[in-house]
Amino acid sequence: MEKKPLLEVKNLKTYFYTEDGIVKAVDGVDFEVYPGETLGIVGESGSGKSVTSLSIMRLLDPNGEIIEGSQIIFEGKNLLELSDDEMRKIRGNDIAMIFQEPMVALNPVFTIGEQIMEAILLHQDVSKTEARKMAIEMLQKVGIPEPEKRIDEYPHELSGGMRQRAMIAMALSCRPKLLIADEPTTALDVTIQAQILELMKELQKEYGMAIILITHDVGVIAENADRVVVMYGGMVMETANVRELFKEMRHPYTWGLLNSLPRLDIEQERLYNIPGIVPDPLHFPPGCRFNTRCEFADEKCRKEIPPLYEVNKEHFSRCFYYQKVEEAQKLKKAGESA
Amino acid sequence: MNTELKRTLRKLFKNPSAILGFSLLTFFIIVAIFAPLISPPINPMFPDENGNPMKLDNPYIMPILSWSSDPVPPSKDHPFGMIAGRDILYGVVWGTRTAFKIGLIVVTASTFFGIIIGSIAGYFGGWVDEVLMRITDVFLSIPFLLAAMVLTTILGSGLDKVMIAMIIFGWMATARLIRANILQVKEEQFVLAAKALGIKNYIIILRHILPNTIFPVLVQATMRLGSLVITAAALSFLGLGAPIGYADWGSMLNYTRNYILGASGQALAYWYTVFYPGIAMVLFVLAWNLVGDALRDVFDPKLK
Amino acid sequence: MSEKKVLLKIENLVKYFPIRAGVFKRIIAWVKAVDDVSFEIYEGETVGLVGESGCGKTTIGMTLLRLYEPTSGRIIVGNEDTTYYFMPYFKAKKYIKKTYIKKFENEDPEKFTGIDKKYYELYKQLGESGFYSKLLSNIKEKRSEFRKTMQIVFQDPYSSLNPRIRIKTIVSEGPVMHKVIKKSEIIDKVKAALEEVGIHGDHMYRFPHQFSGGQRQRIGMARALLMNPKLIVADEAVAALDVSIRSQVINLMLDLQKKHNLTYLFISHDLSVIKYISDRVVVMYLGKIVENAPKKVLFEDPLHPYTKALMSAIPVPNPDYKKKRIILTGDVPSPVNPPSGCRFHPRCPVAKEICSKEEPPLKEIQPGHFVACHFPGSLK
Ligand SMILES: Nc1ncnc2c1ncn2[C@@H]1O[C@H](COP(=O)(O)OP(=O)(O)OP(=O)(O)O)[C@@H](O)[C@H]1O
Ligand SMILES: Nc1ncnc2c1ncn2[C@@H]1O[C@H](COP(=O)(O)OP(=O)(O)O)[C@@H](O)[C@H]1O
Ligand code: SF4
Ligand code: SF4
Ligand SMILES: [Mg+2]
Ligand SMILES: [Mg+2]
Repeated sequence: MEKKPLLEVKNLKTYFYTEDGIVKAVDGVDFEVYPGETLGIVGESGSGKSVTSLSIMRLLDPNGEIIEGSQIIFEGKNLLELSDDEMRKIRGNDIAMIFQEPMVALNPVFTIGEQIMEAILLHQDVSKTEARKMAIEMLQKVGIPEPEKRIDEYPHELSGGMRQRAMIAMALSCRPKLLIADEPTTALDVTIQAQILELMKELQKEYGMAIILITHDVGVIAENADRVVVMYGGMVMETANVRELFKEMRHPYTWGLLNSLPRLDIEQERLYNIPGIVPDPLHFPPGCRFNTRCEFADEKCRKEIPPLYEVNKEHFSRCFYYQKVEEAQKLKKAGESA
Repeated sequence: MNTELKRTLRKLFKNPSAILGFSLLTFFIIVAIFAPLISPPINPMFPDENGNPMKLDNPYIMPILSWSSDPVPPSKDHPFGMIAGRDILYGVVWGTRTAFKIGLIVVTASTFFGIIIGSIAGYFGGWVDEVLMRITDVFLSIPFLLAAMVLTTILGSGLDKVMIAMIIFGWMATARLIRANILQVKEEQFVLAAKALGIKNYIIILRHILPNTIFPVLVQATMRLGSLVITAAALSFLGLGAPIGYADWGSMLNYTRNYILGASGQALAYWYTVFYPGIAMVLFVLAWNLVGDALRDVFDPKLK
Repeated sequence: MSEKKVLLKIENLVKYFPIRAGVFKRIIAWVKAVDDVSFEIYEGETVGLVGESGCGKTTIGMTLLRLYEPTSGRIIVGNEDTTYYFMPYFKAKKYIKKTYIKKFENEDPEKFTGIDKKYYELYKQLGESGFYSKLLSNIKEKRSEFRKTMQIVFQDPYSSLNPRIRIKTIVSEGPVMHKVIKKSEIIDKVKAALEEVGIHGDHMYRFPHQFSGGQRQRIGMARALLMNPKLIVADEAVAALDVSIRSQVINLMLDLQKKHNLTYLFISHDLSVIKYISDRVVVMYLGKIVENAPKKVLFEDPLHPYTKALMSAIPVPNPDYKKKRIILTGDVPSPVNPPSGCRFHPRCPVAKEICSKEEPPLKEIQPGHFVACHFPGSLK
């Protein structure tokens, strides 16, 4: 791992100021993305996944603010220090984003061709006819049948899967170095999801871009990510490479999450339950954010926020008792084999 | 619930036009309630056997205080002036009551019919909906003034007849609005759940659908309340409404139209005859509109 | 399984929705949401109904509960035909005539089985008019009985509870109306029902918005439970919930099933959840059943190419789990103009010529294992 990271997020804090109080949607998030890899961010709703990605793109709602001291370093530049104009160039050119609901990102009054061409013309010095040719090529690449015909259709004329493909075509038309995909397949059927994920993998191989894949679906993470960030209550709870995370998780939340999933690959007697409910971001508990639901929680957990402990060079856990988790896991394994 | 209420109130009172609307409305309500104190319903021209001024049988018939029918400019005794021997202040004050009466009765009744017709059409759908909506269309296609004129020639003129006409031709917008809302709420899963529980139709409508559709209708009704007074005035202006001498802003304006142009040589000499009833009417309409606007802001979930 | 009692039997269920257009709202086409579907549900089991969006799962659930009127087909609960229960009088009569009288007059009574046989006896005993009045009498009680037998839990925790009434009313209005509980018992029973689903009994005076998504789904369960039903249709009841909350609700549903001997029709698009919760699985594609088998059999040896593809498409939360992916091409076609023959043929990796011409019937290949495919098991 001598490689230099493409993107470094350091101590990112994004707060929203609402009538009811301050929503600490993201509250101290650190991670890196290396060139060509897929970083998965997984977490339940409200854990701050989307706000993290919108912060990177600097596309927050007006009531949101990235707090002083946060750093988002892309290729050595802190994006938070760029002017709006410079940031606009980065978006689309170097970093592109795709969303869960393509209808939000696609403009309903323009054909998909016009929208892809606009992106190409904005960032590349080509003529209109060339741009159109490139757009058709792009649509072909993302697997849209009859691209010469489809290029002149409006977003509503396409099916959900086709729209998602069109959005990917638009995002990739400028060959970004980093693609942020926020729940790209959540709204799709599984057979279509499989198509889209496969497509993203192929395009990643071809273009060599890095991907941040955001999802609540642990299965999608397991099959598509190289490294994983687990978020809960606006914080990173655990980071590790995908194998290690699924085998040797060192955080009670990760452990609970993985054990509460119904699974196709194994027989399950009874699903594990993480007790309690997902905390309200207006009223996070003091200390460890997970302490209201954690089996291991004690006085210390209720007072202090645990730091990110280094388990090994690639594996970090935000838990005072990350070693205990290992024992508990061993116990459980012993129980299973007995 | 409490925080919700607090938030709603905070929102209401952050909005200056809402404050203006509610203040104006409060003012009119106070005037209406205390009308007998502001302008006692007595006629000093006719003392009773004890020498006290005679009590009026019907306070809405403005007492005649002088036999001269020409306008008399504002004075200490008659701060808004006089016309046709009657005190304009008296008419404006008691006209407030008339305005509330017209507005509230017509709006309540027409909204009530609108809700019933719209709910039945929206909830049951199919041919019931088709028939009721065609009837609504027919009513909408008849020009209101024409219909009101025809109706009053049949029923005879008078304020109550005008109100009946306004009710008969005033329910359609409500019916359409509630129908559209019901079509939306009908598909909500809690309505389906109620059906799956075998809850009776009328309870589903009353408990599950109307409370979730009624607010836009109330906003609409509030907005309409003010403007109904103008409609009534228009009918009075056509001589269909309240008789001359009745404490009603519309019929006062109707009477004063002869003086609108003023006396020869003094264009605005009789300004007070138009100004006071007119301004009362304008402010009344404004009050309800602002209140309606404020309610819409509060109830519209999209603005939350 | 075959000794168990059949609780619900659906025969040739069809539900089409009209598409209207133009000034006169003429019907220009039909959405063939559910097209000739038959299956049975045994007492105490959980049947998982799985398929992609728009394949007709919800429509089946809603039609079973008679929130939609079926276009045709029979819905038999226990030993009674309930299909006509919610029809207006003359329509119900017409239905009885078409379904029974005609059959009794024209067909060989020896061949009647099940409900036909039972109703034929009645018909012989009471005569035609007696038969009509027997079936059509006490329709209100029959409806009430039906509502008590079958309940539903919906997907959307936000729209499934009326935001303007208190939990107490939400949970008790059905049972009170059907006299399952007395007015004087409301508080005790609501409290007990709420506590059974893990909601504090004192919270019955709260409004729905004061609860989280998972808690609302629990309240939805309590509402269904207090009717004391035999069958609960759960339409994507856990789909909108977060993973950690989902497992809580799933476990709760299983516990309640044991305790009350409930039968579930569990509708979901998620095969992993279906695998965990069901005893038997029905797989649908575009308004048709393609496969119906006991869970173990289905997951070990799926025979329909679509079932296989669906299974391979589910992401498994295990980076070491190696499986062969079958990536289907194309989109799900529209149910307005379903493909000819086998509806899956445009996307089927092993389709042959016959597939686009002849519709494969749902055949029982092994006992209890039904497949609708000309070449079952051919996709490896
Ligand atoms: N009221 C309706 N009017 C017209 N078409 C309808 C109606 N309800 C459902 N449909 C159509 O019938 C088909 C089946 O719908 P259904 O809701 O049963 O699907 P589903 O399997 O439950 O899908 P999902 O997984 O998205 O919930 C779809 O094409 C749908 O658009
Ligand atoms: N514009 C906003 N105003 C106030 N709160 C917001 C806003 N956007 C997001 N939030 C809150 O921030 C938290 C994290 O949101 P998000 O990142 O969207 O979660 P997810 O992990 O599901 O993507 C949530 O509690 C959400 O309600
Ligand atoms: S720090 Fe404490 S509460 Fe937090 S996860 Fe670790 S043991 Fe649980
Ligand atoms: S019948 Fe033919 S097209 Fe249909 S699933 Fe079987 S093999 Fe495929
Ligand atoms: Mg999100
Ligand atoms: Mg559905």
